[in-house]
Amino acid sequence: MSASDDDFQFENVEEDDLVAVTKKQSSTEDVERDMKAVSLQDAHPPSPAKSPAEIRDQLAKEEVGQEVTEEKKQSVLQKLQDADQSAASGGWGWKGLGNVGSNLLSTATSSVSTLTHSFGEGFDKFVETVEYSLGAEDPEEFAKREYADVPKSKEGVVTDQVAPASKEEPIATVDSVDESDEGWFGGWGMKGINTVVQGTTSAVKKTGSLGKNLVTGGLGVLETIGKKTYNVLAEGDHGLKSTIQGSRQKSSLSQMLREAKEKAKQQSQQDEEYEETRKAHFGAQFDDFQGLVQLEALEMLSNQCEGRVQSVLATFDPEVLEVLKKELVSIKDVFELKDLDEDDEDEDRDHEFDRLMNEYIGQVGLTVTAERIINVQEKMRKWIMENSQELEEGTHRPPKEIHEFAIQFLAQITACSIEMFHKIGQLLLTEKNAPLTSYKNKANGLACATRVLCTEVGIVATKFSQRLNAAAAVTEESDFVNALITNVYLEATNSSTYIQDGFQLLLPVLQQSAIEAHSAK
Amino acid sequence: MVEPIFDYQFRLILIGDSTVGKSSLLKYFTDGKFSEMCDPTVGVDFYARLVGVKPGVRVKLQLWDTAGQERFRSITRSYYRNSVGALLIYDITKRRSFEHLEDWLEEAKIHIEPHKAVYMVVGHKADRDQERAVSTKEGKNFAEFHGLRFIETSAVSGQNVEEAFQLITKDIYQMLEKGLLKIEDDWDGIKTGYAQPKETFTLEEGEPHEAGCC
Repeated sequence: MSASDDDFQFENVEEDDLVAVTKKQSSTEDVERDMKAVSLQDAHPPSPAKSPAEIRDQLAKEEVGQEVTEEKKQSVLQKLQDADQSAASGGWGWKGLGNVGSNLLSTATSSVSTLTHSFGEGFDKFVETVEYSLGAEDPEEFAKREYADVPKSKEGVVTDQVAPASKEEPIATVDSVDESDEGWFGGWGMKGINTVVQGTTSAVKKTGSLGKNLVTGGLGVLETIGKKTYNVLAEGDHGLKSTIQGSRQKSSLSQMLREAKEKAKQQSQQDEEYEETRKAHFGAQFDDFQGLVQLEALEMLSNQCEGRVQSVLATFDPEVLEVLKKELVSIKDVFELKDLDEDDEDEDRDHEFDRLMNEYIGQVGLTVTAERIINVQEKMRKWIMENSQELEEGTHRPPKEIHEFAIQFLAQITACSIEMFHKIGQLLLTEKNAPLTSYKNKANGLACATRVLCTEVGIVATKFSQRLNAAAAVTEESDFVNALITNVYLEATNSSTYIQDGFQLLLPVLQQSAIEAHSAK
Repeated sequence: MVEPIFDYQFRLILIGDSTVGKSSLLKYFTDGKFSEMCDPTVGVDFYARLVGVKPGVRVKLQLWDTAGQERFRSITRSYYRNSVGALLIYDITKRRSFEHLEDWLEEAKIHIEPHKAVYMVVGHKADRDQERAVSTKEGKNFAEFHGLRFIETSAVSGQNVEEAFQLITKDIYQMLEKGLLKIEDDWDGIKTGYAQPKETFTLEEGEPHEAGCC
């Protein structure tokens, strides 16, 4: 890969400035061609200069990721000191790098050629040494891999890095590099992500006072590695990002106040949006209807019973156990819910919901009723009826509102079901004098109720989808509505799962109750 | 996922004899009104409300309303452990409910590990002063003897309902701030809301200065 004329241009830096600053530097376009001549003119050329291509070859041969030895560090320091002295005469047009080119390759290549150009012969060794001691990968190899692995990186990683700098003054670019030295490198180092990054941090610290800009600027490659690492880290840690951004911003008081005001505004807006989102969020609604905590408490109850069932069975007389075991196994069989999936979502069962629920819950033989669930279901039926009437009359509700109601309904009926199961569980344990054989019947009632509930949830999902589709026909927001429909079906599945989970948690409770009924005799 | 907007969740449990008005107290606190209808609680019921403990810090109170009936005692007992606060409720018009407080406190202390919960004595139905069977002084003395807070409330007039929950919530929050109570993995008494930055994050923030040094 060659540093072609188009690839790097010092757009914001006047050619004159460059010449003035680096004294011997001709236009960057001529870098490669003039390399040899320039380096011969250089003040201290102990041996012939190498072309950038040669340097790259040599770099490619270097092993990646080796540790920095003490001697290496020494020589780096020495060379940096030399470099610093020779660069001391002027600011050294390094800041121009921030504006260089639009892709990584040109950045990497121009780093090498500009360095070589500025320092002539002595410098290629320096580049090698620094890159070697930092354990950096060959820029070309790295870049190739970047492009192969991440097709987006051309727009994403690289321009992200270069674009903001080019908008600022060149001076500002240098500042930001300085600051990033503390924030970025420090940030990576402590993460201990890999030796490459650790090596960078330590080497940067060592060379800090001598040629901070030189190292940070010259190793655009490393910055890209770091940026990538950082991005990976930041994905799971938004706090890190804001901290680093915060440390980079030095703003005036008025600006801070403005930002604070802005932030407060955003916060209240977020709160509103948040409330809005919650209304149509199954999990949040389920929690608000106390479904989550009911499920949690039911789980506690279930686990306790499970433990007791196991320990009690271990102590039982084998003969007694035989009778009991048969009963317990038959209860367990009921809990398999084998034909649940075969249930057809028959709309004719609509009007039967309350009758069936009352019948099945009545079969459990406790004071618990399905009243609350039936009320919720009636409310939902009424809403759907009204909605279809409205549609016939020409008025319609926005799909968003239908979706919101659908989710709230699903969350509520789920929460009520779990609550009912929990109540049943608690009452089962306090029940006295129920015959052992009644427990299979209770289990049957519960299994049937679960089936009815799951079927109902399925029917409801279909009904709401129909309403949504009808609304979509009027509003012509089909994409948006399709997403809502998918969500309704998804949450209906969730609801069904919760209900079945709640039912399953009752198995140990029923078994425990059966054992107690049996041993009470 | 929709994140909750509270910083912490405290789980509080209400205990005391049957019919002292635990559910009514909670209904007033969460709905803001007194509800006449009241079936005895089966096992446990749940209520929730957000409370501000100081500017910018919101706490979600998850309230476990236990059945006072003796037959549920073995079940409700298992809920004590995961509570960070317990409100011991008695009816000022029923002397027995006050006399039973000692048992309730003892039972709670058996099931909650020491220094893991804040207790509070609540004399309820304070609006029925004419029928009073337990004087305010007696209630106060009992609480002081055990080193607990005391308050008299009414779900009919709403007297002190808000204050009672504010007090216990602030007490818990202060203990949390002082490090006397901690968030623990296998304990549900206190939980962080997701709005709260994770603890690992603060660790990461502090480290860069040390790490670069060689």
